[in-house]
Amino acid sequence: MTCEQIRLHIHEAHDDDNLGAIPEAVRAHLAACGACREFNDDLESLSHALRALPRVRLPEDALDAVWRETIHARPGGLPTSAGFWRLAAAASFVAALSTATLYFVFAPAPPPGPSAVELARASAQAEMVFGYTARALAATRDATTDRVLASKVSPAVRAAAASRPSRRP
Amino acid sequence: MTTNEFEAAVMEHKDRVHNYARGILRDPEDAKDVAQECLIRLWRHREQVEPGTRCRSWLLRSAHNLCIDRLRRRSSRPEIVRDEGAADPTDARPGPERLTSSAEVAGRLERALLDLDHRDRAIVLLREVEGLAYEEIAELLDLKMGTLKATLHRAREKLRHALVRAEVTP
Repeated sequence: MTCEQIRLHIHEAHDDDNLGAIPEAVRAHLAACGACREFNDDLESLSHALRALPRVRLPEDALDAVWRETIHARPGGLPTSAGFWRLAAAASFVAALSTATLYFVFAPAPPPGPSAVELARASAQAEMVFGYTARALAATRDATTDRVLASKVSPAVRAAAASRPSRRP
Repeated sequence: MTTNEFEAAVMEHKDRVHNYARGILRDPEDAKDVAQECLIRLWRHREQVEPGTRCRSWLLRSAHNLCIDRLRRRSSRPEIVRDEGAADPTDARPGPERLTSSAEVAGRLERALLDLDHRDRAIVLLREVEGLAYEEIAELLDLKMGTLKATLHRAREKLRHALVRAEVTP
């Protein structure tokens, strides 16, 4: 067999992952031919190196996006931890907004203030009370003045005062 | 497929789909978008997809188709978008010393994968990285078995040559 035919056999053995299946004639050739032996070793090492290439994990944000678009997109899907808290925050906000809206729509109206007629009546009553009070105070003051004059002032002055017209209404 | 089965399928295959898209597109953002879209599509088609191996094939086929769409849209600009993890292509470092660290080998290998066309890259990734059976790959990429094997042999040769040229023992 030529080196080319031998290498085809080597390839096929690698194809099947069964290096033990290399025919005896090929083994004999490999024992004698350094180039083909090196070829075989290279292919074996190449397979190992390819399988040992570093594997890169799918980033977490991409995986999160997959869950969001799939199982979490349907009603009742299990939320992720981040999604759960976002959902909880949104639910709280909606609940607060609904409560505030309901309160403003259905809360009882404050009691109405006094009417104009009642205000006028109250004002008239107050004016009447104040009028009585003012007159009572004036009367008291005049009486006091008279007593002081009677005790402190000479008879001539008292007579002059008595001759003046009274301030009492 | 029930909701629980969908969740299990996502957790099982999300990194596989993401890595495949990353391997084809060589662009982290595009790969993330494709993986995301692919998993969302699975949800929309969950009634037609059975859990297990069929689900894996369905996801990888969907990812492959989405990647091809992106590559076509990207045709006005160069296909190769440098992956952050790929080795610096200008770092030739000629000399007798062989690069031995696994990170360097991985970097060179990723660079060599970039030089394959997207179909060859898809076959290598599905077979050598994801470990899919030939029948599954042939069905997924709509290829005949003979074509698939010949393409894989050619792609392996290219990778081997690229690594040998770069003085890297694969």
